[in-house]
Amino acid sequence: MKIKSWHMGLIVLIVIFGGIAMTMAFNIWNTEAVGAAMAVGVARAVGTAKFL
Amino acid sequence: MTAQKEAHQGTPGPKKVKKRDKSSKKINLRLVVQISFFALIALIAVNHALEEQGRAIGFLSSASLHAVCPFGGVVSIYQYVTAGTYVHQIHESAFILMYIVFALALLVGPAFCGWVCPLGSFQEWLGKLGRKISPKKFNKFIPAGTDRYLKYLRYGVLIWVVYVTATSATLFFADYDPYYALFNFWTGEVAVSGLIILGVVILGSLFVERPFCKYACPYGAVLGVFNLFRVFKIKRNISTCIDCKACDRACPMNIEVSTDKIVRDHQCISCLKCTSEDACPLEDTVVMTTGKL
Repeated sequence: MKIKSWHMGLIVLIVIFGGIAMTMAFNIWNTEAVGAAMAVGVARAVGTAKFL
Repeated sequence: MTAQKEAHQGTPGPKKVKKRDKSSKKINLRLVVQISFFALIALIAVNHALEEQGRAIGFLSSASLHAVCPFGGVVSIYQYVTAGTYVHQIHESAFILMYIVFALALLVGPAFCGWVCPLGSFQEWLGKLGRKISPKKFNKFIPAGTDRYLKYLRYGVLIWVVYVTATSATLFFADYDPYYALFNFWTGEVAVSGLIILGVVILGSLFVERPFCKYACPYGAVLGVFNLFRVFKIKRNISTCIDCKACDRACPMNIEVSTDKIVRDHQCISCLKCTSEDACPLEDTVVMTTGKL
């Protein structure tokens, strides 16, 4: 497979901006997952406190 | 013209040599990409300065330049591995960019240097001016023998930067970094040493193509290693090559492309100037590919 300059331009842009977009998406997903886990934890703690 | 004549007169190999069609005008995509990244970094630097005055442009990143420089990740590796923290002023984003640029280098070599790095682009543009001032001597001021050894100087710079950053846990190279000085010279945050080195780089760029990239860039030194095992390599078809040395003359990093079958030189920046698409007068003779030629 031969790489011409327009292929190279596309590769550079896709790898750099695609990489940044993927990382941002992963961060958002990770933050939401952590947030959801924390919410469950808080709800449990509140529930336990109410029970006590 | 001579090369084209020679191409018609017969070549050593069995393959038919086809002249490259130079008539169609192509968009210089590399220049477009270089200008885009230069403008993006300049805007981020300006926005960062504006943010400190409370006048930042909302939709644009106002991160510091350290946050958008992948070399920050490289100098932080030691501290991250040993203490689990980043060097002061370095952010997670620098690490992410480092991984992305490494992935790119693994695929196509140090394309970051040839296509993205704003300091490299800046030197290249100054070089065009230098070429007009002294068209015959430009990029030939340093003798080939000296140049061959001077090119390894950047590995010394890399070791020095990584060692001092690891032991001091500060981003000391910012005081010497012409990239940081270029995009912050108006802010008063740049050390005099940085401004002096930037001045030397600007002056040097008028005589030598990309002097900082060639002799002093520590990040270029890291990425240069990828030339040994990158997936897409620059290859020369020896059966169609007419030995006109157009590829050697076109290479901004003074690599002798015409002497190798596969370019593995640590200085290659994947600019594609030597290929059959640009300098080489024959089709499919110098190409970037994974396969055999």
